[in-house]
Amino acid sequence: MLKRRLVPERLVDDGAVVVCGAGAAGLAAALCSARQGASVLLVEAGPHLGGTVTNALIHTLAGLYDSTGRVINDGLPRELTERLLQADPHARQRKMGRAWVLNVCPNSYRDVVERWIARERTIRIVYRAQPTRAVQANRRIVELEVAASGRTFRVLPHAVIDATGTAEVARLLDPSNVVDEIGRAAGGWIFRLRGVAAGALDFPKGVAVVRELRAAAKTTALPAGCSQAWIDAGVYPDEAFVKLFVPLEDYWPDVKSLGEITNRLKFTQHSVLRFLRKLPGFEKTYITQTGHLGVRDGGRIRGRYTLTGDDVRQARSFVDAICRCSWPIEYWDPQRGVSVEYLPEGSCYEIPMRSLQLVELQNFWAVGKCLSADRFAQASARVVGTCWAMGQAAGASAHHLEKKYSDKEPVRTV
Amino acid sequence: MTSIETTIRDYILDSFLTDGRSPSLNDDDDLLTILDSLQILRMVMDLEKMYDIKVDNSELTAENLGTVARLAAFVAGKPPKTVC
Repeated sequence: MLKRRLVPERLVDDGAVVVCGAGAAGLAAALCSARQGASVLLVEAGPHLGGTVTNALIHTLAGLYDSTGRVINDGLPRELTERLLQADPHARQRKMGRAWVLNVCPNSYRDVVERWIARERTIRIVYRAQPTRAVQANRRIVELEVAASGRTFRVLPHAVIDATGTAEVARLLDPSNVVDEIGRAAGGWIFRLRGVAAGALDFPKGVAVVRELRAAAKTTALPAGCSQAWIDAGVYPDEAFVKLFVPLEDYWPDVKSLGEITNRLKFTQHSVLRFLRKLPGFEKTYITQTGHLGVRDGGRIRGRYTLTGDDVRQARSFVDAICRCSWPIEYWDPQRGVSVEYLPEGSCYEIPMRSLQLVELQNFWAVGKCLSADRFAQASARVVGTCWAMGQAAGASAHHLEKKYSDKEPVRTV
Repeated sequence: MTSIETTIRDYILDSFLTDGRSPSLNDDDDLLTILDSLQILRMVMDLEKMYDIKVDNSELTAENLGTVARLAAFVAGKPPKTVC
């Protein structure tokens, strides 16, 4: 974990670019703003950086490459791929179906982004913190209250970037800013196995293992929740990641519900482990790491433009495009399971800046999973590489705004 | 081309290759590079229903699934599940 922290009760911050959420989009926004000279305050709910990749154990980073395997967005997304490949000899570009991903250990990803952020001296981080109040005046967010370690402090931001994945800042301004659909995309629960025999998941053997899991879920051998279970080879030769399918009720963020879901999933993962150990190649497997619940759709803003599934399917371009994406519409229907709808061969669509902006605000952007999009467009745009590209664009815009309103005084600590 | 080959080819085109690609699929095209794992899984499940057969996991090999021609021969060689 980075050592550079804030002491919340001593801080009044004026003039910073405030980034809420240190996942893919938030990290990119913070890095981009800081590199251009902005003072950045990064507010993270958890105890470390990396967001869904590190918390939920994502080992296949999507959205970094186009359909031919070339990096799809320049700047920070390209730099991220280079840093990851350089940092870990096991990281590799891999074709998954008809799309390209970067296979990487989630822990390596975390190390890389933490070292990267640590080098940017104008980024200051407050962990285990979340925004609790946002004040709007004259089409700007003029004050943000942040709670951390049982205390609150105020920030007077020049720009605010909501990269929380659940549109927390937009909700604080007005809950109607956020679309929370009934029947949102299912979440995921991933755990990591080692001790898998070499080749046990070589294609198409992996398909056979998935069939075994799903068939067992139809009997009493495994909980019914395993009917959409998935297993994929990991980064190391003896490694695998098991992904469980988690339909989310509307009240999932409630602490009690989250605890119940987590307990149920931990029970299920041990059942899966016991079951797998009976299969060839898995006799000596064991769990080394369990992720947190991964939420694919935690709510999306009602932005100036709502990106649609048809925009994605038709590979649409926009005059205010900020990045490109060619990842398929990977929609995790809570009733029917996952479906994958590929874009036309060799094509990609663009994301407009308006999809990151609320109509009435000039100094606010929502990036990453909570962009303004319908459920199908979000099912494509939410992937890591695209989040980095969105964050980069918002970070650049926030810096320009900060420059406009500030002569770049350093953050004042009292 | 057998009727099973035609049916399987049409099924794959209709189910998985509707993204604007050239709608051609030759009987010797490598399905394991055209379809992803999820699509292979779905295809096997659908073929089990369509032809009332049971595919064992040990039979999920490139030799049986690799091309439309091999898949058709594999399906044709399977006895109906109901008479097993």
